[in-house]
Amino acid sequence: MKLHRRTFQIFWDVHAWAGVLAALLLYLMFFAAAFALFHSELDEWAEPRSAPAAQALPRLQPLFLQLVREQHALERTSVGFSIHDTTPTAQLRGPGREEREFRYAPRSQRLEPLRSKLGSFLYELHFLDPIPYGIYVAGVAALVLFLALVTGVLIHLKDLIRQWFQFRPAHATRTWSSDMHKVLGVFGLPFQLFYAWSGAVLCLAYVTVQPVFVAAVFRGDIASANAARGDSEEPPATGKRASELPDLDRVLGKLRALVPGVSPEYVAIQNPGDEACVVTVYGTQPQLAFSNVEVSFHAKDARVLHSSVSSSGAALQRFEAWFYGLHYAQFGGYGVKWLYALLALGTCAVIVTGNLVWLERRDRTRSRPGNRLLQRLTVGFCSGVPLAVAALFVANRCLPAELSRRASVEQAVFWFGLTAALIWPFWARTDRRVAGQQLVLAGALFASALFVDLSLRQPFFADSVQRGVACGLSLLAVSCLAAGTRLLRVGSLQRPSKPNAATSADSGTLNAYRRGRKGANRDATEATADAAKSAPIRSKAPVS
Amino acid sequence: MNSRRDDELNHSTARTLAATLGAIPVALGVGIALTLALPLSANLRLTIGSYAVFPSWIVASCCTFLATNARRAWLSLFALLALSALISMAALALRAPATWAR
Repeated sequence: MKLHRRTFQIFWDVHAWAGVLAALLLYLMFFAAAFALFHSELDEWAEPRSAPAAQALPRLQPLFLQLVREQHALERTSVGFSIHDTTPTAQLRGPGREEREFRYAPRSQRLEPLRSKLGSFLYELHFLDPIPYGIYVAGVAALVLFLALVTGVLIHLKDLIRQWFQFRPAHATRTWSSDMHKVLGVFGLPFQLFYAWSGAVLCLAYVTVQPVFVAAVFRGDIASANAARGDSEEPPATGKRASELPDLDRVLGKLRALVPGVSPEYVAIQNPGDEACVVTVYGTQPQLAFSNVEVSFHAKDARVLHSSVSSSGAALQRFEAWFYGLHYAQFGGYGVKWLYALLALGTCAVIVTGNLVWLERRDRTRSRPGNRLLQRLTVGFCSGVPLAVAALFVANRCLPAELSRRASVEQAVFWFGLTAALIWPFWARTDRRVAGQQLVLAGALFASALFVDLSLRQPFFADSVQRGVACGLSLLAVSCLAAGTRLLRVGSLQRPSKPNAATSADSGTLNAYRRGRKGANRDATEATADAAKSAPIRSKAPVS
Repeated sequence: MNSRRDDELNHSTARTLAATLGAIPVALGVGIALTLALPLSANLRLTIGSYAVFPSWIVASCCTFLATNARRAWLSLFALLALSALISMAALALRAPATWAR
C-alpha cells in the first residue's frame, strides 16, 4: 500500500519528531527492561554473602512474628511477603512513606535487613520510578513510542518486507544506521508495539482511563467498578486493636484448598494490628498459561472476603491475565525471558540508530547547536547507561557487606556514573571516541563484576541463579567491548558522508514522494546505487 | 523547496496540540461509547472499551495530523467527541442497567 505524498511526508515528520523526543528516556527504559525481567534473581544474587537457597519454602508465621516483635509490624500500614522460589522477602510500609525490607537468611532461619536492592532498582528504573513522577513520564514516553511505531509502519508499509532484510554494514553511516534501524525495527515490531501499548496502560490507565470510566460508565459507583474489574475492596481501619494476630500459614492452607495447584507469590497484610485486618494472597496456577489468583481473607478467622481466579473469571480478568502475563513474561520460563531481554536490547539499538538517522539526514555537519546537543546527549546516554549499570554491578560486588545504607550507596554509584557519562561528551568533544571509550569501560566493568563474583563464591557456579547472572555478565562484557572497540577503530558518528543529495535509500524514497512521481522504489534503488558508489568503504554486498 | 514543502504540510503548533492533547478526550469518549454501546456482554464491552482508549488516541492523533489546518483539526475532534457522547447517551437511555461483573 502506497500513501499519498502529503500523508507520507506528514507521517515521516511525526515519526522522526516522536522518535527523537522520547528516544533517550525509551533507551533507558528498554535497557533497564532487560534486567527487570530477572529482578528477583538479581536481588537474590546481589545479596552479599548469600548462602545457598533453602530446600523448601519456610513457614511465614514465625517470620511474621519476628517482624511483630522486632519491627513493631502491628503499627505499620501494611506488611508484605514476596515469595520467590524458597527465599521470601518482607516489606514493611508506613507510617508515612517509611519502608523497610528484609530477606530470609537460610543459615539463621530469620529475616535480615536487605543489604542490596540491585534487581529491584533496575526493575523500578524500567518505569522511571526513581525519578519524581517518573511513572507518568514513562507512560507518556510509551505513548509517544506507540505513535512513532504506528507512523513508522505506515511510511514503510509499501516495502516492509524489503526493510526486514536489507542491511548494508559497509555503506556510509547514514545508510547502515538507517538499514539497522529498519531491520531491527521490523524484527522487533510485535514486541515493541505490545510494550508501547501495555506500558502506556500500566503507567497511565490508573490515573486517566479508570477515573473517567468510573464517572461515566459506572456513574461514580466505585464498588461497582471494582466488582467489574475483579478487584477486592479493602475495609478501612476501625482503629480498634485486633484481639489476635493473622495466621499466615492457616491462610495459605485455606488458599491451597480453595484453588488447587496455586503457587502463592505475594502475601499482603493490610492494617496488621487492626480489627479489620485483611490478608490478600496473590499467585498463579503454574499448570495454566496466563493465570492470576487473588483471594482476600479476614485475618481473624481466615474467612474468604473476595476471590478472583482469572481462569474461571469474567472476560476482563481473563484478558488482563493474558495482557499482563505477556508484559511480565509470565510464560515459557527462562527461554522467553532471554528472548525478551534480547528484543529489549535490540530496541535500544533501534533507538540509537533512529537518532543517528535524524542527525545524518538533517544535519550531517552538525552545524546546528540543537543537533550537536542531541548528538552529545545520545552518546552520553547510550554508552553511559551500560557504563552506569556496569558500575552498579561492580559496586554491589565490592562494597563491604556491613556498610550502612549499602543499597543507597549502590544506587548513588549508578547515578554518579550516569551523570559523569553524560558530561563526558561535552567535555571531550570527540563523540565517536567517547562512545567507544565508555563502552570499553562498561565492558571492562561488567567483566570485573563477574571476576569479583567468581572469586568471592566457593564453589563456582553453585546454583542456577549464579550461573545465569555469570552468563548474562559475560555476554554484556563481550558485547560492550566489541561495540566499543569497533567504534574506536572504524565506526564514525561525526564524519560526514559525501554531500550527495541522495546517499541513501531513505532520501531516494522521500525525494520521490516529494516530487509526487511514481516509481519511488526505482528512485530509491538508484539512490542506493549512488550511495554504494560514493561510500567511503566499497561494499561487496550486492546492491538491490 | 523546503518552504514549499512546509506550506503544503502546514505544520502548526495548534494542529500539533490538537493531535496530541485534543485527541485524549476523543479517545476516552470512543472508549466509553464502545463500553456502553457494543452489542456484547457487559464485561466484554468493558474489556474492549477500556483497552481501546490508547489505540484510539493513536488513530485520532494520526488522523488529526493529516488535517489541512488547525481549525479543521479541532473541528473534527469536536465532531468526533460529540458523536461518541451522543452514542454513549443513547446507549445509557435505551439499554437496561448492565451487570458489569459478568
